[in-house]
Amino acid sequence: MKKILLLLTVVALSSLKTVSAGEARKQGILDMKISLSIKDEKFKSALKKIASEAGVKFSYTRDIVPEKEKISIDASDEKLSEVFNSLFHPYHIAFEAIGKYIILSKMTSEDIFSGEPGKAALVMPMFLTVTGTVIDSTGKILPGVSVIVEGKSNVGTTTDLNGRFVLDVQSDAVLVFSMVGYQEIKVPVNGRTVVNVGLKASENKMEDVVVTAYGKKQLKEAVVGSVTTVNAKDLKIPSSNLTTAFAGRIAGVIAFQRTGEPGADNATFFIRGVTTFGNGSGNPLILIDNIELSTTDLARLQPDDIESFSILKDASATALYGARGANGVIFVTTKQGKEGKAKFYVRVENSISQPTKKLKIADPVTFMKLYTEAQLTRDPLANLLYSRSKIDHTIAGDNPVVYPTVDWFKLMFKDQTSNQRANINLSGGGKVAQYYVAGSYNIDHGILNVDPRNNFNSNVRLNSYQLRSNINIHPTATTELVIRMYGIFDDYHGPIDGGTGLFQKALRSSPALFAPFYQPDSANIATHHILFGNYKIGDNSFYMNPYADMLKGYKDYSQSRMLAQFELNQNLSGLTKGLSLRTLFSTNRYSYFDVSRAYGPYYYNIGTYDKASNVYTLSWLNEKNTDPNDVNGHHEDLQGISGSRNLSTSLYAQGTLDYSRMFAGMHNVGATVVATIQQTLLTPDNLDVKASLPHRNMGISGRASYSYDRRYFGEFNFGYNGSERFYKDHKFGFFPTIGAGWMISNEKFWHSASINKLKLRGSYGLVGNDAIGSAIDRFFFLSSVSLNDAGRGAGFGYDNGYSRPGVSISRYSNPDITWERSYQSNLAMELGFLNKFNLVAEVYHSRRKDILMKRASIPSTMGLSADSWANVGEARSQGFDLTMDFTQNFSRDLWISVRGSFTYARGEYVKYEEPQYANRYLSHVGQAIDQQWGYLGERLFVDDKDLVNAPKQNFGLYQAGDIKYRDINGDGQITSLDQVPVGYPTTPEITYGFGFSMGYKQLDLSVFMQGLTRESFWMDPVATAPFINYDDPGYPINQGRIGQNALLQAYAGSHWSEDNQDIYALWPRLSTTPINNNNQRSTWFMRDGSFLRVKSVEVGYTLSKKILDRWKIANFRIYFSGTNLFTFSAFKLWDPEMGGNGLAYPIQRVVNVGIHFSF
Amino acid sequence: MCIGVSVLLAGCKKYLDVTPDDIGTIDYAFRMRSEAEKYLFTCYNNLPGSGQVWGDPGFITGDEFATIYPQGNYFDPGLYRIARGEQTVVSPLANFWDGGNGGKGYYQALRECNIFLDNVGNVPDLTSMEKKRWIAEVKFLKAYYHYFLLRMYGPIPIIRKNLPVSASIDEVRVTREPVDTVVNYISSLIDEALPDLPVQIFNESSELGRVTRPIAMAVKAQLLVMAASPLFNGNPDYANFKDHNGVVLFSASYSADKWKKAGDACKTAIDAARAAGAKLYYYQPASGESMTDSTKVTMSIRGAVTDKWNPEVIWGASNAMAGYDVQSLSQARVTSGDPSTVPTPPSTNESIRSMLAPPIHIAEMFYSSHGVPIEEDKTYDYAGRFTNLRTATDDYRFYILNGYQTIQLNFDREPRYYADLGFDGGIWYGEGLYDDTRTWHVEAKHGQFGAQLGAGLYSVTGYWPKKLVSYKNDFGSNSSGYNVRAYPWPMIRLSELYLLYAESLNEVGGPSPDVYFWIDSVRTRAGLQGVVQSWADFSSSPAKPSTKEGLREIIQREQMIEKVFEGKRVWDLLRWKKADTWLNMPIRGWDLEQPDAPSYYRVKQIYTPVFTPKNYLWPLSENAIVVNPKLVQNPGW
Repeated sequence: MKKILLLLTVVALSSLKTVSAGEARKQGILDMKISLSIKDEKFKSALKKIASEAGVKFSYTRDIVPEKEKISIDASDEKLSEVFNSLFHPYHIAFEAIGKYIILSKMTSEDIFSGEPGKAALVMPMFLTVTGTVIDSTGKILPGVSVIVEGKSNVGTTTDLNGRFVLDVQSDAVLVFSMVGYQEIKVPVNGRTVVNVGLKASENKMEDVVVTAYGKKQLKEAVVGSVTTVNAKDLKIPSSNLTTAFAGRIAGVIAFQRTGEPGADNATFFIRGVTTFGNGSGNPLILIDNIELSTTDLARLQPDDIESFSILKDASATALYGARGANGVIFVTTKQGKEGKAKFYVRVENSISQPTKKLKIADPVTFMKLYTEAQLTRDPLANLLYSRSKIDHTIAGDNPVVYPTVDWFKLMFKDQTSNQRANINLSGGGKVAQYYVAGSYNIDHGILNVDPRNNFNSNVRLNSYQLRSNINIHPTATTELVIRMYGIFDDYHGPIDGGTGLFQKALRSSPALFAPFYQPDSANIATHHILFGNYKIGDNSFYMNPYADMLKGYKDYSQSRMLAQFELNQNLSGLTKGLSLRTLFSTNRYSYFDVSRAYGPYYYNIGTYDKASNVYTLSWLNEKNTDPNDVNGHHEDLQGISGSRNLSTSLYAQGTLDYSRMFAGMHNVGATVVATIQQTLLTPDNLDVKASLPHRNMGISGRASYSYDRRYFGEFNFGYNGSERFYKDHKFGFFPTIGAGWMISNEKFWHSASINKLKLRGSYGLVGNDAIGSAIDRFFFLSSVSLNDAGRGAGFGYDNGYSRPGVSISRYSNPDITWERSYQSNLAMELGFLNKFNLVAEVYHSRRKDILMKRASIPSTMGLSADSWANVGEARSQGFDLTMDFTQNFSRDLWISVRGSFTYARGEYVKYEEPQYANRYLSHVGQAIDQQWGYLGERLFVDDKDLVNAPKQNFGLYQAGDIKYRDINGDGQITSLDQVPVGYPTTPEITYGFGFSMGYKQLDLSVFMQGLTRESFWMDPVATAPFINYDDPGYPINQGRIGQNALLQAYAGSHWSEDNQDIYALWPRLSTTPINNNNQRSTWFMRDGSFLRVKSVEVGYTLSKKILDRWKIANFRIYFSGTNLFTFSAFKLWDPEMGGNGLAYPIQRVVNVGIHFSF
Repeated sequence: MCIGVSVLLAGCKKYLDVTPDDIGTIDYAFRMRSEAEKYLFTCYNNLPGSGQVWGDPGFITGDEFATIYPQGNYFDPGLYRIARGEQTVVSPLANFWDGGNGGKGYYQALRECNIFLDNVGNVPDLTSMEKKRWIAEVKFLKAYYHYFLLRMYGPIPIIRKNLPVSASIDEVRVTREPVDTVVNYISSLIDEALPDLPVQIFNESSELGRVTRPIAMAVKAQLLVMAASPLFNGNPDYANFKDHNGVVLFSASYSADKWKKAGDACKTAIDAARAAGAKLYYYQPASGESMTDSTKVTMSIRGAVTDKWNPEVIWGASNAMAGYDVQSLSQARVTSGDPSTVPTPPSTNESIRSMLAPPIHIAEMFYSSHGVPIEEDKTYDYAGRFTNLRTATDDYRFYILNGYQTIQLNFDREPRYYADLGFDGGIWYGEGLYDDTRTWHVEAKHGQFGAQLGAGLYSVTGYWPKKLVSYKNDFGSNSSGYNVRAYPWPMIRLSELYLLYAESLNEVGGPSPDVYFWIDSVRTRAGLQGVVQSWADFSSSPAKPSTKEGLREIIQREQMIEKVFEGKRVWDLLRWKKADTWLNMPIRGWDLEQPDAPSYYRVKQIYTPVFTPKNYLWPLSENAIVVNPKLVQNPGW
């Protein structure tokens, strides 16, 4: 008995030690003195009494407490700890205070017996079995919390249903508690056997600190501007283009993607919609580690490397960028190393992509039949390209060489393409230096088939490498040096047109005019070259043979950007507390060049065909075209083709003086001054001297902030910026903003337990935009005069022997032109509910003044040879954006988080210089930016009588079956004055997204839906017109050869024809040439651009701890993901996100499998 | 601190000042003679692309040519769409007001002329002689561009001086000025220019094509004749055509004095031109060229247009050379008929576009061999012109292939018919064969040499404007090319002035020996008898030349024939107010699909153009009216 008593004492002592040594500060409540008297109460009710008397709460599981025991306590002015000691020890109950919670747990036998004061501990770190309970700040027990030993990720466990854990550790180990939705906490064991922990709920670690302009980190609660931060994890989609992940994921960003063309598939995105209608870009400023880079650079960023991703939306957030911030700023920082053991992270993915919607193309026979119909219906005497007998023989399946039907797609393309991506990063470091080194390697194999007869591989192979190294060095305690090196390198080897060009060409090639290539006939047995098919009109008008273009040669291109950045940060607390200086110097070099070689294909067609013997001979079509520079010239040897090159270099320097200090515990004062200077030099496209001059801008900006007691926040920002683009009077501008915030939930009067956070904030200010006008109009204050314009000269003399070039003016000088000014106000509310649900809602209004626009009031009788521009436009935009998220843990194995975002942005014309229209509907004022004007397409004309009786349409020839427009102004003819605003703008006004992630044990699943609405698009009546010789003016690839646009199945099925005079058919009367009357913008081809799609789905499996332990790795996850899996839309012909041209390179659906692991 | 900041800012300003001082401005164009010369040439650059399908609003917009429509593979029919009735106010074709759709922006041209006139005084190294000449040239060009606009649009705003770029909206909203004001302005501007213009070009190898005094005088004559013509002179149709302020834009009363002035201007111009060496063109065979008189006559007619810088051409457009484009479009695919001795270009020679096709009524327009209209010629088988198939005899051998069967319409016509037109069975002299006993000829029926090639290389009527083809062209040694001798497009020929003078004289005083003299001068070169005698001998209305109205008709017909295919007919028909007669005629051709003569020579209608009164003046673009509400649209548009 005595022995037991002694033991008990020891246990009591050790238990006391736990209490006092462990977290003494936190346990202050145990030092509270109480007086109370309890007699023969049941254990449970006794606890209740103590709880109410002492103002504490007990947390325990039922099995700990001896329910039936009755106890008595008599304490007067005793410390709570002493009361507990005497109360609990006899029942082997350990106790620990966390806040006002007292957590009770059972002492284990080791607890009881290992207590012989520290004998073993003196010799070596002792192994202990630590137990404990994890609760949250409301006292609720937390199951499923991960508990690991720091530095030994193979040692760990999770809490059980009762929130308890048991773990064997060394006595000096540090336990790391973590769980989704809670802040990670580290607790040193310090020899204790019981470690009870309370986890603080936190939506996200990222959100506590917000990265704002110039990379300044601000506490979230102190931010008064509008900044959306995005978790880089949310941007991880199986795509090598980061921008395609934006839509619906970032509140305040309107984003959409028009093409899936590799390399050109950047999404178009606008922060808070389109807020200007100037000729320049409304694109946001993109800064990666403070350096201004292009959308493409942003697109290539690896989500794995992103430390923070912030969207600066309102004036207060962007003011520091002064004249460049009006369109919003995207600010990204990359990861840096952290002190600790080296961490190695690997992610490998293999994805397969295919069009989201496969275009339905009519078969070759239908093509020929309808081509003939198109010819005859417009000109009964037309020379038929596909003779009736040819069509009949093709239908009969006669000699397929003589009567070819070609499926160019099947011939040239695989159904799908695969990409491989690998990302590796390594981070770690010691006290003096930390490193983060990342590399990635993407490989795109292309979708082309390879013809074995060619002696070079004609498929695409695009290798893309990235290397990033961020090194932080701390030479002294107050100095930090950051060295960032970054390089991205693309090497392409493949057909000259690339996959995309060939794709487009295949859609412009006749399926029946000729075979892709012919087997040698008797005359060509000895011929070495491939006998490509073609068809000739005139002496040098050939059709497109994409197969020949694919095989005729190959191209190599090399693209690289290299960036070196040096940052020196000095803490100047020695001078005055809270002062620091940061400097940055960065340079990057970009280069692109390509080289191609090709032979000149030899084109053949059937010369003679003897039906009886089924023997044909070939005739050589381009025999006369011997000019190697002619696209149809033939030559057997490879010859070089001159390529393009593009080089640029830029320099950037930045200095920041930062002051931040807390006075008297509640006055937080901060001030920042930033000076920047930037220069870019590039190879001009032509030898225009103005384009060759360096591009420069510079500025000083500053921020002063003050907050009181974490309740009231105030901020003043300014930017004082210069731009090279304006006349000296306008070079510099001052852009001030103010902002304020009020954290209501930090007020004393705030008692709501359910609403744990409520904050209001607002800002108002002015920012500018100097990216106005087109690139060639760089210096508006200078006229642009060509003193040697060959096109404007003249020649005289008997043989025109004396000629001189002329003089032309392409811009008149206007020294008054300056930046656009945007007056922006923003109001936001942040709400947190039960620590589970968060909502940020913002409304904004901005008025963009001084928008550069073409003077519409200048009649042509002025004789100006160039448009005149002035800052006369004005636009207004408003909208709101919303983010919400919700996280719930149901058990240790099951958690779910849901989030959504919604962005509504509408820009309107306020002032627009336009003629004084008699009809209000022609005026832009009050209409949305990107609103389209068009004619009301009523129906198709019925017959010639109908044609005569209807108002005359002034767009060229039209016949029955062509579109009839409504005469809006009733003047008896259809002219441009009959156009009315039709549909929604072409930029969506609403983008939204929502999704959930959930986890069950080792499985996780996330689904994200994205949609947009209030957008109209027009099926392009030229680009999609069947049969016509179409070439995209922005991306010409035909090179003078005749294309024949593919016939969409939908058009084949529904068009006006003389036999089927459907006046509401999808497509008007067929034609083999563009019919200008039908090509007018009208409601006939207008479609609703709204859609909702399953943007991404991901299923992942993380290996269990047991296996990880065996493999000695920290983490291993395998996942399957997909993007653009399914789309809901009223429009069925092609992916509605592509807009008007369904024959363009389609948006891709990607299915992906990946693994990532770290150790 | 303040000092530091201000120093920094000063440095900043400098840093941002990236533009060097020597960025070119318009002043650079007048820093020295050689630069100013470029600006002078820029003013010339605005001259119209005469004789070009896609640049000359008088060339293919009327009824002289039909072609493949709506679209051929070889040229965008462009302004031909006007002939097909596709002119619109939304996007006018041949828009010389705003520039675009084949039209040059002539207000830009005028601004450039004014810039030159404002600045040429600053050029330090320009002699005063040369300066005067340049100023005179640009003044003429300024007058010409106004004239060009007047001819198309009627009343126009006059650009006397340039408005500054920063002019207020009220200032830039100019109004259309009455026709008479515009005419007087142009005429006085030409008068200003005349004294300083050279009488003729002496530095022929470097200056031919530059404006001379005869050119300016001839343009003034054209201008005043036009102003005196029915469209502009007291046209009742436009009596109510006023602008928004009530200003009457067309004088409502006829003024005979305008014809007097026009006649005087014609006479002055003729005298000046002849003094400078101009004369009607007569062909001189080269040594070794074997030729009869018949051929010589046709060659004189062809050469007046196509012989480079010949003395009849008062104004040759050195910047609108009739080169491969128009000549290959006009060239028929001819054959020698004897490939064994004369290597014939293959019928598949696609270098020969062969696409400009004069319609049948243009063929009918030519006189009979007696120099009177075929419908008036008592001896001509007018009724059988489309039905009577005849086989050419040896008498016709210089016009029609001996033994070839063709239609009556092609028989017994004046030399200009055979000089200007190519047709099935017609002889085609020159182009490598310089002996009129051994020439090319046309075989145009289906399956024959000159028939349709490919999808679009053919004449849709069966006629070709041989007049526009230089006889010095050839088909190259490989027989598949087409090598062209370019000639400066004849903007004004002396014969035109003769006929304009005759027209003016007749309007002023009616028939007179003087009138007959000028018109007969032209007829003589065309191998015809004088008007009085021809009508007296062969016409069913022999007294026609003796009345003012009859003679007017004869002079107009003479002009239509003499100037055919030169891009002038449209303007003449408009100013005579005869366009609604001629330009509503169905466009017809032969039945090209047929291989034999009886079937081939069936008249097929190609289309019927529609000319309505509004077409007498060209439309201003809707946008021009919207932007400047002070402008009024032309009637009917």
